[in-house]
Amino acid sequence: MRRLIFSLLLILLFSVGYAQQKFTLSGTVRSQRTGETVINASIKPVNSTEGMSSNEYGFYSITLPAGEYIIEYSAVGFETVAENVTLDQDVSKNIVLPDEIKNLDNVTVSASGKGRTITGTQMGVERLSITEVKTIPMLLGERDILKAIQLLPGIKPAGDGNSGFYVRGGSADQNLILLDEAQVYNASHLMGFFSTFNSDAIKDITVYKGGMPAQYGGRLSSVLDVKMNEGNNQNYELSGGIGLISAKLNLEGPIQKNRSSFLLSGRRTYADVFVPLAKDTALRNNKLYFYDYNAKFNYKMGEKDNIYVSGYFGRDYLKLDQQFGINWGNITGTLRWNHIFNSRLFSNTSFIYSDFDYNININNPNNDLDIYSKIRDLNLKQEFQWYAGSRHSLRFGLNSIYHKIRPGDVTSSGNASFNNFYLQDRYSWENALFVTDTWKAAPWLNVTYGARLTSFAVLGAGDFYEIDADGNITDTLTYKKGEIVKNYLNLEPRLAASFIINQTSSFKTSYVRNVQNLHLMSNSTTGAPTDKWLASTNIIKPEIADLFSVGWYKNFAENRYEFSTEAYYKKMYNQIDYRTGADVFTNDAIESQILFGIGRAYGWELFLKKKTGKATGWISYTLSKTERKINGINDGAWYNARQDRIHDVAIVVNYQLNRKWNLAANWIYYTGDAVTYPAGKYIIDNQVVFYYTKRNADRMPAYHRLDLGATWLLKNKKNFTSELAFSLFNAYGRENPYIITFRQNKDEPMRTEAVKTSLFRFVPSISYNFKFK
Amino acid sequence: MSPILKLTCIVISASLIAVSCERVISVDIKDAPLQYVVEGVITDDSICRVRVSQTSNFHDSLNLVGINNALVTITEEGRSPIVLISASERGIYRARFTGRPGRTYHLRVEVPGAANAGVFTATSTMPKKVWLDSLYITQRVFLGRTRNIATIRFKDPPERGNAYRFIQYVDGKAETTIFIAKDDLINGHSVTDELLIFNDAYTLNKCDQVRVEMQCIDQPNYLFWYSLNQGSLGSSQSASPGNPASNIKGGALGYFSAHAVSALNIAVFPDSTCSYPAD
Repeated sequence: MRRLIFSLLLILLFSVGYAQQKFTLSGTVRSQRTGETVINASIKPVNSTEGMSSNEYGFYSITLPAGEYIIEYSAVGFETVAENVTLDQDVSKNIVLPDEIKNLDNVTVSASGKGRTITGTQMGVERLSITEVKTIPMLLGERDILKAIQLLPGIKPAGDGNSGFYVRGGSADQNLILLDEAQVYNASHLMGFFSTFNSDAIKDITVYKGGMPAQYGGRLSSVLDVKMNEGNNQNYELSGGIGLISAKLNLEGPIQKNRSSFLLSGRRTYADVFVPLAKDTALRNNKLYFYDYNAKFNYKMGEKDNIYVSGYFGRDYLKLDQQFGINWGNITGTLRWNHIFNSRLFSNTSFIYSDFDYNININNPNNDLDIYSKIRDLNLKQEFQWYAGSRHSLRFGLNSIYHKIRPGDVTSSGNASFNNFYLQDRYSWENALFVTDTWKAAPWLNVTYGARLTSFAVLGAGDFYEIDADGNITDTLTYKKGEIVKNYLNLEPRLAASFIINQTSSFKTSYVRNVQNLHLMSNSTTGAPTDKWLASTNIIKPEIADLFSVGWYKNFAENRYEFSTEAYYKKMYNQIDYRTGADVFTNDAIESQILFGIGRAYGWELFLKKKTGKATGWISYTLSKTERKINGINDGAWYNARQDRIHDVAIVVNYQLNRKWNLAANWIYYTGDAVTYPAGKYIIDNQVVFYYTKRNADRMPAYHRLDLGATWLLKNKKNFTSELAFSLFNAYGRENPYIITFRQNKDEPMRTEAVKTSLFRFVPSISYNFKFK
Repeated sequence: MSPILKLTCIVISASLIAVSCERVISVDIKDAPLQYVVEGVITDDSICRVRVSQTSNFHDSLNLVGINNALVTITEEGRSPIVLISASERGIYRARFTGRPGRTYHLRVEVPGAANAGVFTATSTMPKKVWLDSLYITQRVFLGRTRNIATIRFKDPPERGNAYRFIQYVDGKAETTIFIAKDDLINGHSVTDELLIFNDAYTLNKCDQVRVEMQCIDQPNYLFWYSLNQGSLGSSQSASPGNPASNIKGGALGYFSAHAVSALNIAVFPDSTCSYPAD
């Protein structure tokens, strides 16, 4: 009751405050050393509960009653700067933050992102700083942001050493992976063992596993928003590294100091990654490598306009005996224009290109064949951020994407056994309008409410099909170029509220609906580049997910520790799976090869993080359940999704031993994947065939693993730093199952045995990194 | 097309196998009630044979004893049923009957005393016959080793919808790899196809007597072999193993196929050092 009266009083005070004149303080926060904008810096008047964060382009705007203020600007990895501001008119103030100075006698590492705020409404968000990612030991020493996020609650690895991930019961294709706003369709190299993101070129990683803001849409389960570095506009920097499998080089610097800068970054694996490890000399003739390049250029046109151009190009090659080859890769490009209309209105316009393709080539003395497939997006996004007053800030805009999918072109030379064969190209146009208001409703209550309205138009030219329940084509409908086959209109509400209990704790709740119109069909355990992207059609309906979540957040011991817990329930509609014996490569009527159903997932996540001190790290635990119900699979009954894992634990520890040495360890444990074991066996044509009953009713053995790492700072001069990094993946050599197969015993052919194949044990690595400044 | 995908898979997994280790483990298998299995074949080559058997539990030895008291008939459309007679303890039923391309056959199997009815039926149409034109041995490097590979030629007819299954016999013993093809990519072509065996060490040896049988199968049987190969052999990397798509109705596993066959024989690079038993 006392609290209620107190709250009412505060509201009253606030309303009175409204009568007072207000002014806006705005500007851009940048790093002093590099000139890069600082994302998510905190801007806060001293002795006040008000506060704002800089946006993804470093811009901030805060509206306060007229008066004298001391404003504190702070961000992870930077010294806090306090400025005196007299607010008797709108004030524009650009701020540069100096790098954090590490106290050498009493080493303090402030490793934590400040992404998780007590007061904000955003739930289900995880931010990792690149500094945090750098010390986590990884397979073959290759730093990887996609593997680092798997150590967070609710995010699970797709397999041993794999960069693919599942979020809160969603499948791997239900993650929206963005690199500078461009969608990355296949975010992995070498069958998923490495991600497409070269961590040297990355500035910021944010994962939304729930409560996605309305400006994001198109995938059911998560948004992974990766931002590239802009390039130092103060000084030239050359950095690089040589590891066991790859070498990297990164060059950045000003074109015109303070005005424009560039960044070029490249990475290439050595000819063959695993092949040298092969015992079998026969395999050494094969080729297996990848490379990727990141480039960015930015230009400041006066105080109000910024232009950014960024791009990514990466490709994998795999060649065998000169007779078989497959290569695949992503290309993305983003052109962005930031404009500050006034102290309260910020605008960003982006033109985005993204492309994924693969090419399979077979060339042997008897036959040759070439298979090509591609997905390409042209994307325009316009977004406004309007800091409407001290209590409301709005984001609104529109997004328009034109998708073209080329499902498969099969070509062959004239004398081969094959016909040329082309699956129909598929076209679609996806449009979205979005608006969100973040409303400081009361000192104890913040509310974010908004919606995203999406329209997905399936376009001709092409033949579309009517299909009966057994997958037979009953009718073929032919559409002309540009003709609308079907338009799906969906409203996606996005609601969130935070109830502030006190300065250090809060309770939050949210509801979001997400709609997905591009679907990835995959039947392999880990995902392959040849997995097939399908757009919604007249038969394939948009996937829809409703996610409800609640959470409690607490900072304690003077903010050195943070604790959070969230619980969620997710319902998924129009989920897709393959029919038995589906053949998707030569079937134009792809709808005849698939089945539809629903899914549900629920779970409870716990997260405890120590943010400062010599030892930092976190413990995360997830208890969850994920199921699917698809008409035609498992007799139409609920069954475990493959990624259903009951328990999931990750412990990440980092210890700064002294100025020279940093030690790190992580341990993970999860319940084995849900798999289907045979229930019996029989003979068909003299061959043993297995009999299956329930889908995914069995469990692989539990997965657990310890990784160790150490970083030795060799030189730390003003102009040059270098370090050696060591790691040991799977340090106690646990034979984690990669797959389990069944076969007849060689000596007793009537007897069946289960065989566990495991991959990485005791994998050591060493890498050398350097930086000239 | 499936061999191409399979090849992709093989190449991908080959790079993994290089660093992997295998171990036999014990797994907790939940036994299910035994199921009936029907394998029915009728050819234009005077084979008319049905095997009726049951599944075995996973940990048991394979049960080779068949069901010998079933009533098994095959009916050519428009004619009267032929009764097949059990000839062995292995549940094999035969009749003196030769199928004809273009005709549709109905199989009926009734197992007296079986739970839930015990009547299994299936229908298959024997496709038009396509002849195997030639068989020869190709020598080339695959997965780093020089191998001898049986290579076949045939001419796919101009009309669409043909499907084939090939069986390779070495010295009279059938090799278990499932070779299938359908004409969506090869329609109307003279086709050269290598019977590539995706096994690290496999090669045909000099002097081996190789026989390749080509079966012209119908679409449901193509789907059966295709899905069996994808997900029922216990060895695949498929995320969703399952039972093959069967054309048997009534709840039995297996298939019923009316197919036209042609076959050729060859010896692998024979010379005077080879010795063959006199026939």
